[in-house]
Amino acid sequence: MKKIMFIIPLSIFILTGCWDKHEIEEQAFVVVIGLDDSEKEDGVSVTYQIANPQVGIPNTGGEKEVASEIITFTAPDFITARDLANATVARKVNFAHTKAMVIGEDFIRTEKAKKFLTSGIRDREIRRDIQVVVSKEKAADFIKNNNPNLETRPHKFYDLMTGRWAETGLVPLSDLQRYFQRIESKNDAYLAIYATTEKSDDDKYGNEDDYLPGQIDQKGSSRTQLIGSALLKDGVMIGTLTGEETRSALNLRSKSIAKYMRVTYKDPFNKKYRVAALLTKPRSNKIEILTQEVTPKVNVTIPLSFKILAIPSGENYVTNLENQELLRRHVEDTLKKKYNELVKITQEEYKINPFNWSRVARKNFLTMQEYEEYDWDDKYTNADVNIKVEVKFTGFGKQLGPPKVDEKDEGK
Amino acid sequence: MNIKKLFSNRKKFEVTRNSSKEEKIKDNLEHNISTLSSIFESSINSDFVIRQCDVLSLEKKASTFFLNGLVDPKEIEEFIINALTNSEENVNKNMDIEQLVNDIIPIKNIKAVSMISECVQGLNNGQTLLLVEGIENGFLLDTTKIEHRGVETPQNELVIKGSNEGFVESVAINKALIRKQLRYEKLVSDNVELHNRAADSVSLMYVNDLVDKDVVEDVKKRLRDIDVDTIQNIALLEQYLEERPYSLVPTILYTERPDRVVSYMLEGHVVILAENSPACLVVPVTFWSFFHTAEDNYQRWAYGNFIRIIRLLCFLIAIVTPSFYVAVTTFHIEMLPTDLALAIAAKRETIPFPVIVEVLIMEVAFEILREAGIRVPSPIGPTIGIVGTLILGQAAVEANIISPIMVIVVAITGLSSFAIPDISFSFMIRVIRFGFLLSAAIFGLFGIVICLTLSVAYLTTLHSFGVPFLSPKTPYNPSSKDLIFRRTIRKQRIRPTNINPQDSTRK
Amino acid sequence: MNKYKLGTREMVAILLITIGTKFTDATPNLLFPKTYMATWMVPLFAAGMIAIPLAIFLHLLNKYELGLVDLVKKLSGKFVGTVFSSFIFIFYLVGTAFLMSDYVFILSTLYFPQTPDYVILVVLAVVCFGIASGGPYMIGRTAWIVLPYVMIALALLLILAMVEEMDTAYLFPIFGKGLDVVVKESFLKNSIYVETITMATFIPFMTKVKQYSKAAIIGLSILAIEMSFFFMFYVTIFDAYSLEDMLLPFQHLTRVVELGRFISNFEGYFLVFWLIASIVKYTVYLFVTAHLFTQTFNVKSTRFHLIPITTLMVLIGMYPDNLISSSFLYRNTVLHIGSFFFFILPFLLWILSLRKKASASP
Repeated sequence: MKKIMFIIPLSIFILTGCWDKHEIEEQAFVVVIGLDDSEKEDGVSVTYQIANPQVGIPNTGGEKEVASEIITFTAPDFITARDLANATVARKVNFAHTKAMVIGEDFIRTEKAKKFLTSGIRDREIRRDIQVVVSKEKAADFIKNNNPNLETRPHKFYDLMTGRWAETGLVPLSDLQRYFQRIESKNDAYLAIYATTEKSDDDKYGNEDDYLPGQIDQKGSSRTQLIGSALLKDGVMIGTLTGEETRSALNLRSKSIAKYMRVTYKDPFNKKYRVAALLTKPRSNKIEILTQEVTPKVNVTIPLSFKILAIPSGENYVTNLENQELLRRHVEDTLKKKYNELVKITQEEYKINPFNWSRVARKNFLTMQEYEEYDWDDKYTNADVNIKVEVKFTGFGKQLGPPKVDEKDEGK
Repeated sequence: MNIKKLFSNRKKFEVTRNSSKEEKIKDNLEHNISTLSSIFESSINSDFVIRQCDVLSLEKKASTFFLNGLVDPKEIEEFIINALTNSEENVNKNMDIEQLVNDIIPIKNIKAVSMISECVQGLNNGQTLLLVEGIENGFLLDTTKIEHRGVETPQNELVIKGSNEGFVESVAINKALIRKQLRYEKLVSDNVELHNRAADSVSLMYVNDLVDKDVVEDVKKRLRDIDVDTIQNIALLEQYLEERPYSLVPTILYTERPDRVVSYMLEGHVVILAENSPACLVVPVTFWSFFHTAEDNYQRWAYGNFIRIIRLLCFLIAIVTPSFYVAVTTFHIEMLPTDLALAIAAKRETIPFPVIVEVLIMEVAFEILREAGIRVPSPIGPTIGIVGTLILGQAAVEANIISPIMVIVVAITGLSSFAIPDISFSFMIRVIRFGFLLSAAIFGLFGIVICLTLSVAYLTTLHSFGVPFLSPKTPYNPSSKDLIFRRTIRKQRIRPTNINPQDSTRK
Repeated sequence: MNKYKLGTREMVAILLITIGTKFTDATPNLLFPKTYMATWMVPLFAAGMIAIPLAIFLHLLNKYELGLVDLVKKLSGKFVGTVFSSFIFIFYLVGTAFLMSDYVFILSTLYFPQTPDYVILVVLAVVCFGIASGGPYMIGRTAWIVLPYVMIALALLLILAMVEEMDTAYLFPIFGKGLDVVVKESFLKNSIYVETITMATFIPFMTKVKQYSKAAIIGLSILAIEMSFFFMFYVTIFDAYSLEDMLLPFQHLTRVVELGRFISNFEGYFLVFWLIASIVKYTVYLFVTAHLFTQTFNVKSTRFHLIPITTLMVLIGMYPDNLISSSFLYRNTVLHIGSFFFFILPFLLWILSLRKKASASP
């Protein structure tokens, strides 16, 4: 009798399943959430991209199925929308593996978007490391049109693509965590990945990085482009930065995590060509902010190391030390100019800095009251910014001098 | 009521059993012969041999008794019968009779006894009894020769580096194997007679100037309290000695390696040896003894610790893997890498059972395979492998009964449980695994944690012959810290003091 | 002398687990909205503040070689002693019950949203009861066994967190809302270390009273540093402005850390160690509460009284409706009361002992 008393509840437990027990195949994994404005005042247009697990797995019959299911509908917010999603999806909608949140540019430019975004964090499945991507078009269109050819499963694309920031610096690291940080501290601008799947009308040639998404004149089947960043002030988008500007902004931050930026600079001797180099930041910037006076003074020293990658002009910058010094000066000047331009734009146009300089300014104060009274964001617009770039050559590749090119041959 | 009955039965039984054995040896030879004949049922027991002869030198009648099969017939013929019947010269009639027997019979060990019960025990142990007319003493002559296996490699505790002698089913040989490895005058072998029908004797071996005397007394007391017909071997003795018979955790170490035994004796442990067992028991032991093997110390420091790490890993894997799989796939899906989550989901889509049932099917199938593998007669042994791999590895997956990842989970679990050196421990892990599995099915990781914590807490309450099971870790006692990892041999200078050795430094 | 009794190690383990899990629950949420980036100073200041009464208390313990309740009773007389120790008992009963419901809310919010709270509460209580009924030795030894693993997990978390983008600049402005606020909060919350005093209940099960003093001093110094370190990490990773609204920073920290692209969701692994520590913690509390009861009212068998006390705790634990009420309202109040009481108690006892000495000498 005792044994039966024990076995019955146990078997009920196991057979009926417990409250939070959900078999893995009963769940639908949303990999991307898209948010757009809806006509309704208290609603938001939500797009879910749900991965199809069977795609890419042999012997499951999933070879012919589509990689993901994309559904769009209007709901009060993107958390409760999952119940609505069950009208079409037969599985429990799960956000545990959500990689990215795509937000349409039109939407993020409104205060409404901020409210919907911040309200979502309450849910336990929404993780703070979800990437925020701002799409030029509607998020629903972006998700629909984004068909990467290399990655079979949709989550992989976002996983790998957003991971590229660490290498190239063309897009910033933009996760929800940082988004909330900026909103809550009310300092500094937030940079989000800027992307599109639509071709822009104003194609241009911007060397290696001076583009906004859609401007790169690329041929190929996938039209998705992630480059540059959307600049958000207090959670609302107010402007864009090109890929080049994004890189500059990252370099102006005290600690940039971007590891390798391949950049080119005009050859000082031969204006036709550009010198290619690999740019890294070996140390943190030295940033000094003087807040005693009415207009704050900002002194930034940026240490950079350069590895020459290619010298198409054939000039000797390697063994000729004079030329080397010249190139170094040239690079320093170019960079300084670029950085100053960016700072100017942020001061005059956006009136907020995306360089996280408020953290440096904070050090000058003892208590929060003093700091808040000072109002760094307001003072920044008139701040006197001094930028110093220190370039060091650290490598020249595995070639010494330039190849001997006959002047005559070149003339032909 | 029942208990009372039991007691009364036992008393009656004891009375009948001991009536003739209590007697002393009489000076009447005929009387003695008939007593012994009746004890050994000589009318139907063909192994009981009585050989009568006249001892010329004493001019007296004498009888020798022995049990066929336990004695060396050649020895009896050559050294006893011959000696008794032939020798007539040089006998000093005035000498004590004991001295005389000693002189006459050229055999290694002669013991004079006066009680019938002693005679019976001697005969049962393969000695030859000599009774002489008119003398109230019997002589037990050591002619024991019991057949047993030769010394072979141990069956379960194999090592790559180190001696490969294992115990055999003879106490004498086993003692020899131990003494061979530890030639030390304080190594004693203490015989304890059990109070039971067959009057088994059990040997305790320990190093007298190291051992905790209280433990020896404790062991002796427990041995004396055993009250059954006979203890056939050490595996049964183990179950009579342990404190918690229902517990899953073994508290007595069963080992078949003399070198391991010696190393334990040098730490102050007591070793129990009994006939017919190719192994011996070590008490008191701690958790760590079950975790260690002989090889850990034979291999150099780095290698020894490496295999310890592997074993620790196996220990964890064997207990937790299936339950962890269940917990992660049904409760904590976010813990899986996205690709793995999708892969598992894809494969599980066509499986008709919940994960827990899937795991149970495979675990039970594996246990069946394991049990069958031991019981199967060796000529058809290879079929087990074929059936196992085919059914578990392939057919079940193709038939959509289980998912392929399940095969990996069960295989790694099974493999890890094989790497646990001690059989009792391995059993323990195999059993508690199911407990973990069920609680993981109910509460996910919370369930696993509950089981883990309860297991640890339970282990801390155990004692083995008065020594806390997790000492010297907790309660802390100074030791050489040979627990999960070991130090270099040179640094293992202190004996574990939780065992209470009389001398705590090794010198 | 029984060499298998509890020693310094087990006592340190008990202290580290009971106090050392406080930064993983809602305690930071009581502090961050008040002291912001200066929160990391609070554990240090609080430890400094409690060090004085603790030193007096340890001095008295060593002098009289008695457990907590016996000492209180001996010094303040039978009646007052009983009143004092029943206050400690009720403090523990209510505090533990609220803390327990705190943890249940954490579990249900983050890991088991659909499981009813009372199920988790009852399961937790039953498990803790099971271990606690094994007695003080079982508890102390279990704590010591699990301590290294918990510590390794915490260290791993910190190492992984360091890989994340953390910025020491977040620690500024250094005094947060001002040094006065920090000092005030440190005093009000000094009862986070109250276990260094109340765990003296375990003294009858220890080999020597000296070992308790040693454990309390070691424990307090490790804990002050550990807790301050963790608060510092919370700030440098999340920024104090975010922490103001962020419930359960520890759980967030475990969610933020990642090891490359592949293993990004770590919180489950930390959940394991956190749960182990929590179970041991509640076991300790449960036993201490029951033991306080039996000692205060001079009844035998702590084990027997565990059953009603566990039941009572579950019932009280079910009272708060949610984490906010249990943690912010009730626990905050309990903490404040405890801070005053346990700060004053040692001084009071000391004066009494001096008086006793004075009256005994002539």
